[in-house]
Amino acid sequence: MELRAYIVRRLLLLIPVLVGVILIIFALLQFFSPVQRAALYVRSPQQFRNLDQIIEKYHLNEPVYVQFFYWISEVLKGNLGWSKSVNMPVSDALLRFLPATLELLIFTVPLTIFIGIKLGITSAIHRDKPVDHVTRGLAIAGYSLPAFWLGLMLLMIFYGFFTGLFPPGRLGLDAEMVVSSASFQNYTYIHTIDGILNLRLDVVLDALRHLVLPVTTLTIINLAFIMRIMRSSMLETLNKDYIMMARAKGLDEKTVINKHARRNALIPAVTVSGYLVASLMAGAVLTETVFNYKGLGWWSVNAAVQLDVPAVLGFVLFIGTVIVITNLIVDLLYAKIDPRIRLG
Amino acid sequence: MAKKSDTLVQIRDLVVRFYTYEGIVKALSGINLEIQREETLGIVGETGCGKSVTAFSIIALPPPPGRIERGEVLLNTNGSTIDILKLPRERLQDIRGHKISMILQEPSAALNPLFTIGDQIAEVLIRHRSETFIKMALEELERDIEAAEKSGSSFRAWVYRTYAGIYRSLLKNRRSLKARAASRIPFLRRYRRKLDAVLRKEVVGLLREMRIANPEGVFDLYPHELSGGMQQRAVIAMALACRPKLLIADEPTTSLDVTVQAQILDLIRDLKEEFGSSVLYITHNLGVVAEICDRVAVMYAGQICEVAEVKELFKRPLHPYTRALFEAIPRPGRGFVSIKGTVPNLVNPPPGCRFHPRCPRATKICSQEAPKMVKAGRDHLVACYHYR
Ligand SMILES: Nc1ncnc2c1ncn2[C@@H]1O[C@H](COP(=O)(O)OP(=O)(O)OP(=O)(O)O)[C@@H](O)[C@H]1O
Ligand SMILES: [Mg+2]
Repeated sequence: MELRAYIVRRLLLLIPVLVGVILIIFALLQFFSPVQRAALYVRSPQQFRNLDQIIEKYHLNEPVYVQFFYWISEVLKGNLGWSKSVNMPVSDALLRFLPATLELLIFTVPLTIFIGIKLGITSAIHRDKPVDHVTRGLAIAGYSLPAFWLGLMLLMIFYGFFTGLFPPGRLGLDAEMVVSSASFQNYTYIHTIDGILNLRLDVVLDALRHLVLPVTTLTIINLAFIMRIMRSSMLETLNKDYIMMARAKGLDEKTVINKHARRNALIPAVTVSGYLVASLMAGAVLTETVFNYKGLGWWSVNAAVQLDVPAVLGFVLFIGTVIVITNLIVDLLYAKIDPRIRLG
Repeated sequence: MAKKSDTLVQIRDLVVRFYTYEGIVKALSGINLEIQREETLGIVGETGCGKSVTAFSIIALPPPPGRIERGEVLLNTNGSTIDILKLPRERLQDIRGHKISMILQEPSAALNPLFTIGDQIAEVLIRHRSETFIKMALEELERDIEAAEKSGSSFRAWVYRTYAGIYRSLLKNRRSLKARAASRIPFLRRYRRKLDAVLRKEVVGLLREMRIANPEGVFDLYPHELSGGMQQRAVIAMALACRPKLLIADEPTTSLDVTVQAQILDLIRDLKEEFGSSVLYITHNLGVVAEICDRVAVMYAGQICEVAEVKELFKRPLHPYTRALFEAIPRPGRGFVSIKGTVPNLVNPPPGCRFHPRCPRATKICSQEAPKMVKAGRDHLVACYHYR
């Protein structure tokens, strides 16, 4: 149908955008000297001793287009260079830190979006009533709390005061042992999922226990973002003629809100949710640091501080791709919701 | 003169206010108006005089932050009289879109962009006349069951019987748990198809009555795929789906171009005859009034200043404001005449007669006490001290 045609069109459009991202990153690379750039092609620490050989092999002294050819064929093979800050190839580092970030995201995003949308709608329906004031007040408070402070407070209460209730890190010692034992299959390195797949409830529960505080922190901090957009777009929608018309048709308020208003009001919230996903994919640096939850955020900041150029570039390439794909998904959701986009 | 029993809707002393940051907007200050059965009553007046607020208040839906402070809207149906403004919410919702329905100025804004035309019209039918259509669906299912049994397909007969069971539970209770559960279960959810088909037939018929070409195709289109005129026809179909006693039309042709305007006017006039509805036609165009209305009420700054039969009003406008309105109609060979002065601010409306600051005949009394509606002829009411 039309939606399928739209998806195909959008997927084709993805190609030039990704090429653009790659070209920009490559252009940035040209600011470095050949010797610095050589680090991008290194695969093991020994190779650092003969960088000249690498410069030769990848034609780093030759014209830009030749270099681009060799560079892009390495990138396509998945070779993004050596990350000295964590002592492993960049591609390995990405794969290693991504699951932690994904695990946070899997819980934070649905919670934030669901609660944010609910609160936004409630707030809009009860505009300027006490419910609205309270909801907005709490949301703004959450929004303005610094992540590290909120995280530390939560740790003090739920780790310090209620001793060890919700600990920092990703897993406790026992679960760590299970996970690294030979009999445990790490399919995704997302512990909750692997735990379920291995039928190890203890691992799942332990992972969840460690997730509670960082997910709570991230949800509280990002909630206002979605809630405010949802509230304002809901208010705007409720003022539309077709809402009046729906009421004039004799529909009850529940149908008016849930059928006619909510879907229209969701459109801006979808955009913001896309941003939320993309920014969480880049890692929640402060939250990850406070809870010693080593994900992409922790790795990328660490790499930047140590001038680990290949790591930073690999990270940028990854995030660029993620953002492009998130945008695509947001556009597809728009098209799903709004026939004017799908058919226009 | 109309007999008492011929009155369909009677608005009595209706007061609507908007509580805004700028102050209290006294949008309607004591409106009295009667709408007779099967008549077309026009309301004319400058922008902001309260025409739309009156319209929405009749179905107890003043646009927020408006509040109905006082008054009655009496509806006479089936030999009894009810005050719409005092009805509990659910009874009120039963009346909206069923006994009284509405069409608005901007058809493109009145239709929800995310649902098809067919969906939006069927929604009214299922809201108010679900019983009729469920029964129709059931009848068709009975026929299907018989046919299936004859052809020896006992499985299909069983499926149809299951569907029929769901419809029967819906007949007993509109929010039947069984039906709601079935709507969520794959395959079982297909029971809806029969009802959808029945509704579709009805809606397509309605669209055809609205003189829409290719009604089958239009059923599945989204509002943005139709022209303004077609959209307004769809809105009219939605409003007339349940054959309402009263159709409120709030400037339904203002946003359309002239030829389409004429078509829509014709359509409303013909359908009104056919369905036997009354129409409350709101406009600021006296030409349209002359064309479509039987009687007309002239509004100024939240009050009604003159009510008369159309011919009478055109022959003998009595209120100075009505006269000014006629003067203001552009005519060839004469410069543009506007009513001098400005429309009063409804936060602090002028005391006495609201029109007195702009009135050529105003005297002292006009600024002191509001004039009462007086009978100035057969079926002719006017609120002015100096109309003679
Ligand atoms: N949502 C609102 N908030 C505040 N005041 C309002 C609101 N809606 C209407 N009003 C006020 O009520 C008065 C009557 O408005 P209404 O919309 O009924 O005018 P109208 O006669 O329909 O004008 P138009 O010809 O422009 O449609 C206006 O003076 C306006 O200021
Ligand atoms: Mg209006």
